Amino acid sequence: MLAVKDLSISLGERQVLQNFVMEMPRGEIVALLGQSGSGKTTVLRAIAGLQCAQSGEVHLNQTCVLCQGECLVPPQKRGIGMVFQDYALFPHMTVEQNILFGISSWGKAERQQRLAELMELIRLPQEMVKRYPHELSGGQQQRVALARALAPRPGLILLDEPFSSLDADTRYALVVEMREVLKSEGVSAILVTHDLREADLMADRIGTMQSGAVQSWQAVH
Amino acid sequence: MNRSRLVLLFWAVVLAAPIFVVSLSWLTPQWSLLQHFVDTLLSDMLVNTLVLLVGVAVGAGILGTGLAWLVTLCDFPGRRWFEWLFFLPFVLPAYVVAFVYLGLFDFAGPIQSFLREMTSFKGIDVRTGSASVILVFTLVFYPYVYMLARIGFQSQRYTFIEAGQTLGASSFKIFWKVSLPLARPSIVAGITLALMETLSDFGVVSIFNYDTFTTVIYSAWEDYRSVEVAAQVASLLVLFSFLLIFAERYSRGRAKFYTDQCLVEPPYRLKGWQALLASVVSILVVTLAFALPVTQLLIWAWQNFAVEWGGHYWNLIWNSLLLGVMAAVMAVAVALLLLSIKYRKRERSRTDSLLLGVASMGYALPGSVMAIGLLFVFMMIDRGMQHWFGIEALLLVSGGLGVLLYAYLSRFIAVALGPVEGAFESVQPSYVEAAQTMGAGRFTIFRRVYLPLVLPGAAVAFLMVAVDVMKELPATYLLRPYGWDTLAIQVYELAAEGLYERAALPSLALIAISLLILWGVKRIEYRR
Repeated sequence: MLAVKDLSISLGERQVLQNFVMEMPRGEIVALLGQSGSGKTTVLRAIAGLQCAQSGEVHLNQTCVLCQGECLVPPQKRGIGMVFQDYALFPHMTVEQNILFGISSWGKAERQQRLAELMELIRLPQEMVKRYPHELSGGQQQRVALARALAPRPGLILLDEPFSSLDADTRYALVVEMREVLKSEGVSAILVTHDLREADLMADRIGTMQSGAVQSWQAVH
Repeated sequence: MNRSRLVLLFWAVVLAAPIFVVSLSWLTPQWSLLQHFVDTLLSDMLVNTLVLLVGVAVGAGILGTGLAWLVTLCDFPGRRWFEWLFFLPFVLPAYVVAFVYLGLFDFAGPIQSFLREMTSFKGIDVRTGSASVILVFTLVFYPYVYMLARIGFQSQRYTFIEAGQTLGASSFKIFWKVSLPLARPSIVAGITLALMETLSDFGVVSIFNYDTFTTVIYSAWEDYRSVEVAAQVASLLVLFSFLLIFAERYSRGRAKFYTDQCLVEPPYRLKGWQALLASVVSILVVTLAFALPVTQLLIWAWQNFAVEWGGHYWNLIWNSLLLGVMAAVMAVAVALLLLSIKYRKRERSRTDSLLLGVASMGYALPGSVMAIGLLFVFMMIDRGMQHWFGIEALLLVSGGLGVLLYAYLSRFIAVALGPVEGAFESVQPSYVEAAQTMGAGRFTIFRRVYLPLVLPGAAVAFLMVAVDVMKELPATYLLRPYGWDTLAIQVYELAAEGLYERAALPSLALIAISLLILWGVKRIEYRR
């Protein structure tokens, strides 16, 4: 479903990714584990189309979306969902408006059904749909961010250290819960983290990154 | 009530006093004169004023917001230059742009004469209708919207745009649904400033013979010598301004607009025809709003230098500069004082915010009305003192510059509060708490933590007040002590007699001083 071949990216003088390679089948959850500066977030941004490269390829469902370093398909057209480290929930929109943002072209009944479905999936009470992000706890915001990314039914979800600002208790419970959500939706996911336990709980496979490349792969579940 | 709150209350009362005085005019209504205005002028002027306001709101709103979005979110050739070039029309007094444009585009002006000679064009009267007036105000006042909208766009997170992109939204949808609504409070605040400036303008509308609310106020004062009716009509203006501000605050609801982050790099890189279009539009705006009027002024000033220039010009320049700098120093100092009280604690008090709101009400009062109000008060005090104590205080004479500076402070404190408050907002409470845990006292915290962080905002406030004061006409005209003529007054007196070519010289001097101040402030900002 996803294949990354020899991806190399420099930001300014610094070489962030060096011949990065990875492949993943549909439905798999992969974690990229590494210290800050190891290039893991850059991998996600290149897959999402938010970052082009010096060389290398990214294939999505047999289509080359990034070829010879050049971005051929913009992020809007890749059908990939992303959960950001800071959640990036639009502060002027309610939970409902945030979740429906990516599916505004759907019919009204369909949208409402998807909203109800997602609220149940992320275990938030229906009455919270009218709240604004700043009226939610960190964990609740995180769930809404996931629901928003899942709403358009993407084939792949990218999770950029989404648990880093949560306390330990909430974090690990939420990691397990999120894995269940992703598995029940049948969506592939890449989690970027520096927390081994988080990666362990979430992923089917863990890649350990160092200086812009994966040093080792390890199957978990 | 604690001491800080008392200080705040004192300043709020002092700064808003002219508004109270003007409102008190309703205690002595002159119904017959009011009825006369209702019968003769009012309905036309109401329509004219509304058309003007809607036109300027749309024109300055779209232009200011569009340009701010362009330089903040898009990268294109020349972006860094345009970022501050777009700001330049701010230093041009509206009445100067008005007479330059009229000189250029009027029936007898070079453009129409040329067109009539070369084509079958019959010529048009640019003074009829409201389009020309709206255009001039749009070109002169869009920087208010631009300035604030830019801050609004800059304070958004990069990830908002990226989140929109990964959710499949087009660039337009992201602009329309995310960037624009998030910047809305800043944009509306900018439009409100532009509209208040429009409402209080007298120069442009009188040059174009376009009758508005201000015309009624002037007519009441000039033709009927009725301070009361002038003040009553003015208080309606003030009421209108408050409605505007209130409507914007109310429409925000519970939604949040500000984040703690800011855009460092523009997310969109324009290429090919898009980049070309952005550069061409930018050049066009700078040309129409700044380069064209300034070039025309330069030509006129060159042609009339020998007739117009004289030793008294040094005096005019000195007076303008001194008044601008004195008023700006006062306004920034008072703004720093008031805001350091508001931001002294982690929790913001509603009372403090309310008092600050009261303190900035003077901005809604046209300069002329403020002057009339103050003249009225000082006359009353003088009469009272003479009557009760037999003292001839002659406050208006002995008050001298004090009265004028007080008028400036009351009118322009709001202009200083805006940027300084923006800077205070960026000081995290934890910085102050960290300083406290290291044993720093109140004064040390102000000097070592607040002041350096607030300095850029204070510099912007200084610039805006200084430039606004130097451009200010009606209050200066009515309240200046004998011998205190300024460049603005020289411009007005020449332009009022139709001597536009000669008025170019003082206009240019005024613009040059403003640019000098702008350059100084930019250097302060740059060094940080």
